[in-house]
Amino acid sequence: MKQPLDPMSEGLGPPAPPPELRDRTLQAARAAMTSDGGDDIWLRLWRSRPIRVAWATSVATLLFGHIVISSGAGARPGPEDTIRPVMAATAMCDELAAVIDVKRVTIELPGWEIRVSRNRVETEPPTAEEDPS
Amino acid sequence: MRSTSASDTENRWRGVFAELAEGRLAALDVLYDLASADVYRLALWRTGSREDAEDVVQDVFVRVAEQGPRLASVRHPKRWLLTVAHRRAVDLARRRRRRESESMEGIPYLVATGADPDRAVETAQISRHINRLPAKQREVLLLRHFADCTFADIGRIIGVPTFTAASRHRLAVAKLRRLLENNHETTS
Repeated sequence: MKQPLDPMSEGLGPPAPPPELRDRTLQAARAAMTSDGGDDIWLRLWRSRPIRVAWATSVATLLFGHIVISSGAGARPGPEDTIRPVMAATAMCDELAAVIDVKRVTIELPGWEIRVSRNRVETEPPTAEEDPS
Repeated sequence: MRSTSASDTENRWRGVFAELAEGRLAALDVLYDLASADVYRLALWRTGSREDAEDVVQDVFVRVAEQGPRLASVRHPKRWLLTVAHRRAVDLARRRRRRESESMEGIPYLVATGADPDRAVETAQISRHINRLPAKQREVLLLRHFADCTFADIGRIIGVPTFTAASRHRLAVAKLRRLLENNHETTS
């Protein structure tokens, strides 16, 4: 794989690191390996003052927001608040009242037994004796 | 033959990383013998500074030592180490850009591997031409010709697509050839 860069560069190669670098590097690496450098990311985050401040600020902001919202100043309107204006509008107009007043659909099939469960409607056809046809 | 020796080398790297993951200090020496030349050369060709290259070697080994048991999960140790070296070299070069005015003419990107004193002038000339290449192209040249990397490996190490790595290599070789040809013409 090692191809000569150029015919002229045959017999040439990049320089080796200086010999004195070996001791310096290995000493630093050994120190890093033997030191109590097993700090995990949470410990390093905890030791960082700016990150602690950011965390405290965000918690305080969230708490404040929660208190403001739940105290009623910014509370969401309930169903009564949304229905009342509609009811008032329909009271003034028969046409609107007719639109809103949807009749409940009922199924009336003579002889059929209809059971409504959570996800499906089960029907059983009438027995031979009950079958009107 | 090549694939066997390549896989032997890869296994050796993995073995050293596994020992380091277990906390064996002696493995640091083995890793230094195995990797320091590649890391130093990559840093030298990328930063264009011997001092920075030495700092990169030291930082990379400290970083490796700090990884501890996580080293066991590294799948391609050589590629991982060169990636760390590349990133560190880029960081350092960016931070020390202010020193760009410092002359880099004397940086020995190449040295004679044999004991041939006649090649000293020639070596200095080629190093000067290499110095005229952009750092990104220089780095690809080194990884391809002197660190035994494929273009796919180079792409992963420097964080670019394989095609971009190959393209940088092509541009670098073309420019270097042009510079060398011009040099021949002027000297002859």
